[in-house]
Amino acid sequence: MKIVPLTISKGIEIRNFEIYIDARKRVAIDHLAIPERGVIAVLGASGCGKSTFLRVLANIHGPTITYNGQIVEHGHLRGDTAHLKYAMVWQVPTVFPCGIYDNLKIPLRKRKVPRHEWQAAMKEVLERTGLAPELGSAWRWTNSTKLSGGQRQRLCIAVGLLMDSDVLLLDEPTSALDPIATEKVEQIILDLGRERSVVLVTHSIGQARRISNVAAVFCMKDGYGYLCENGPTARVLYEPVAEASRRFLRMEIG
Amino acid sequence: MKLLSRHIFIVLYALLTISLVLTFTGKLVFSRTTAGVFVGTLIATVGATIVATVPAYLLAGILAGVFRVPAWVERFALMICYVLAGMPSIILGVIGFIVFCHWLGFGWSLLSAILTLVLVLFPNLIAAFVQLLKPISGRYQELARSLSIGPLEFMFRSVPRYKAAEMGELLIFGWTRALGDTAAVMLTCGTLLDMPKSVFDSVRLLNYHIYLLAMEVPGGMREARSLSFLVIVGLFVLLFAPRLIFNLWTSARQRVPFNTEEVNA
Repeated sequence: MKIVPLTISKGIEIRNFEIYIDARKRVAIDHLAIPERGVIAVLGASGCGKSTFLRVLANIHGPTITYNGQIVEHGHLRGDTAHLKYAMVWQVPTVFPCGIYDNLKIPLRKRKVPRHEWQAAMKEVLERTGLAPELGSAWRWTNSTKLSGGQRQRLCIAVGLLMDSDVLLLDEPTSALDPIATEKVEQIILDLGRERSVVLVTHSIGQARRISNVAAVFCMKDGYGYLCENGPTARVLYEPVAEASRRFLRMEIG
Repeated sequence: MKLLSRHIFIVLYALLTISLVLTFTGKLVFSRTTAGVFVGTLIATVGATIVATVPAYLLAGILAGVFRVPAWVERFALMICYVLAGMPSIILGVIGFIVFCHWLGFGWSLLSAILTLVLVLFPNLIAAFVQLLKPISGRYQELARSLSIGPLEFMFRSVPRYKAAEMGELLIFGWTRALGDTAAVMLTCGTLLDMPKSVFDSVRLLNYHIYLLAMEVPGGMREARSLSFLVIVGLFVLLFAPRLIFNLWTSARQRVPFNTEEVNA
């Protein structure tokens, strides 16, 4: 397969990409560039394949999902030696039902970080996600099931950060949270976007406007979702070029 | 019932104390030959549980969707499970008698008994493991995949850690099922009362021993009663012990911090 020259020097580029579920076309993307840093908001109607796209990108999709096309990571076609790491945070905060310490140590063990460095690394991510002051020194023996929804979502982000991932994939991370917890998570996403790629699937136009640099709008056509528009957030939200995205945004904004 | 579950530790303690008191006051009678029966029963049942657990757990992983396998493998696993579950244990005993004792030439031995009990335990363990894995195979498996945890590591490292009590209960459940299944092993393990020295030795298992004492040994009823009492108390203790130990362990773990240095500082 011939690699198409990159239009961005670093980051991920997706070209001529199609995702199939049970051999039926569900998502089509002609071209999408995810820059090395910044927050890219993925908008679109329910069922147009935003979450499926994230799963395929993170390579955690099930056997019924297949795809063809190109995912170019830092100038290399993704294959068995994919060097980019992805961390995923779900709509429903999902962590293992055990201690916070036990959850945080999984990515560190996977990355073969020396055991004596674990504590410092854990403390750092807990500070960054704002969990350290809330939990105090009790975090070591606190069970993740005893955390609130917002705290659990921030723990998911903390686990993702410990994966040392280049790209953080967030699938509607604030949809189940109250406004205060949402504000905290948004602040974390904003901070993280300064140092890495954050792909944020959201239904909230306001959230996309507040924290994203780039926006991508998915629309439905003939039973499958396709990327109808992407570019700087302000331009996509206020001056959409494609008719389908204009119609979608008009319905969302009202 | 709630009161019983809350004070199960006291109930178990009382049962054990009563059996000890009854033994020392001569109410419970055990002959010396019973030692061989106990050892034989222990080896046969624990051995069968150990041998059956790993393949049953892997098959349950396939049926619960943890492993990505072709559809025919899943259908085949399901068929094995249904066929074995549908057979009465005495029929499995007959199969064991023909296959292990005669065709494979193991004779009436511990090995034949263990392999027959594996057939008996298989469908029960698979069904129980599927029940354990089904609720966690979706969301948690996706989480595991995103953390580069493969299906085997998920099955053998993550699940036993997060479901330790349930896993312990299932293994004990398998063991107690094996302890109770006299019908299947009656035809494969023999009736010798001696202490087994190898897996090819014939042994007499506990339930069958109780039956013979009660029905065919003159004056054996008293020992049969004593052994029956012991089996019931033993099963109660075995079935409740893992949950109890896990609860004590988790409550102790939640009380004691991981790093005592920081707390002291």
